[in-house]
Amino acid sequence: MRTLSREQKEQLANHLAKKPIEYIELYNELYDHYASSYENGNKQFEEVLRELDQHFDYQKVKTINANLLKKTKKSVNEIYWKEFKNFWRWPQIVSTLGFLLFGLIILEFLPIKVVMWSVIIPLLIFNVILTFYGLILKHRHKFGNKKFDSAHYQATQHYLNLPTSIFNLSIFLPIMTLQSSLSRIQFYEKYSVLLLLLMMTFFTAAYIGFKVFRTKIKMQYLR
Amino acid sequence: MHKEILYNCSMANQQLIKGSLSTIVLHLLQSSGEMYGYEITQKVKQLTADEIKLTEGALYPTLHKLEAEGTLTTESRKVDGRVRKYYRLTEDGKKATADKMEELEAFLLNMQRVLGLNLKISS
Repeated sequence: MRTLSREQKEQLANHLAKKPIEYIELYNELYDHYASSYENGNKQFEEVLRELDQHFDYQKVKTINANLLKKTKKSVNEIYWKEFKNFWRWPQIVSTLGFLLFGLIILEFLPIKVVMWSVIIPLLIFNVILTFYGLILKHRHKFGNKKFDSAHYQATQHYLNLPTSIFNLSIFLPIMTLQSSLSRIQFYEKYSVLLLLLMMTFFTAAYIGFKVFRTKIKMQYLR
Repeated sequence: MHKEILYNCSMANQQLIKGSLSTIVLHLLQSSGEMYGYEITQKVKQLTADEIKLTEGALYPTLHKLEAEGTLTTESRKVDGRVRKYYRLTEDGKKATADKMEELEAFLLNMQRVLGLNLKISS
């Protein structure tokens, strides 16, 4: 089987960059399609480009691109919901319950301040870094003199921000419940189950976010 | 004249394929496990001895739609220095495939009755 030469790879990247593609997911899919067509056939490279351009003309690509974000949002919602459900299914339920038990023990024996600074804050920082890394990926690489956005990054953004939102909620919750006479630490010592639930949601959101980021976003920018 | 008939046949074929594209994709993925876009077009060509050529421009929106519905799941891998997206059926997708195949079989049987065609349909 023949393979694309370096010049042909560049030519293909530039050729696709001229199309109305905004998202890296579509660019990669079309790049692979064009490259595979050439590599598995016996036609000249320019002929392959011409033939496939009839299927992927300007208007067609524009339509596929326009619908991609909507479809990706739907698929990301599906992934999050499926992953969340998995936490409560056999055999994952064993590790989920184990984690809950571990959380209860930690809250029983360690001061909340220690848990906050050694577990929650580092994880929160990691999650914020992850969100910024997505932005860096988007702006760092050029594909055929063009930078592409990630449909998955756009569709996942509010999910990636979820741990931060949960953290903010945990700060404001004592005030919102009109228990301002208690300090936050006293509040969560009194309602440790509530803290455990918030922590559980926080970890779940961070874990799924990381998984989606690694497999669906970072992967697309590989060179 | 001959050319015109061939053109009309191919147009009619395209219309029929468009309506059954999801079923074709789902069935191929059921038998092959996982496939990428180009591979799907080639498999259809190979199975129909070049009689049916999938319109690539219609294939990807169908794949994206099936993924959004949760019928398909995807995994991107680095192959020969580029990213390749593989499609696979989800558990819901396996059920959807069985339903679609049953639907198509019933439709073809009814067409056979109505049009008096002599088709042998086997699953």
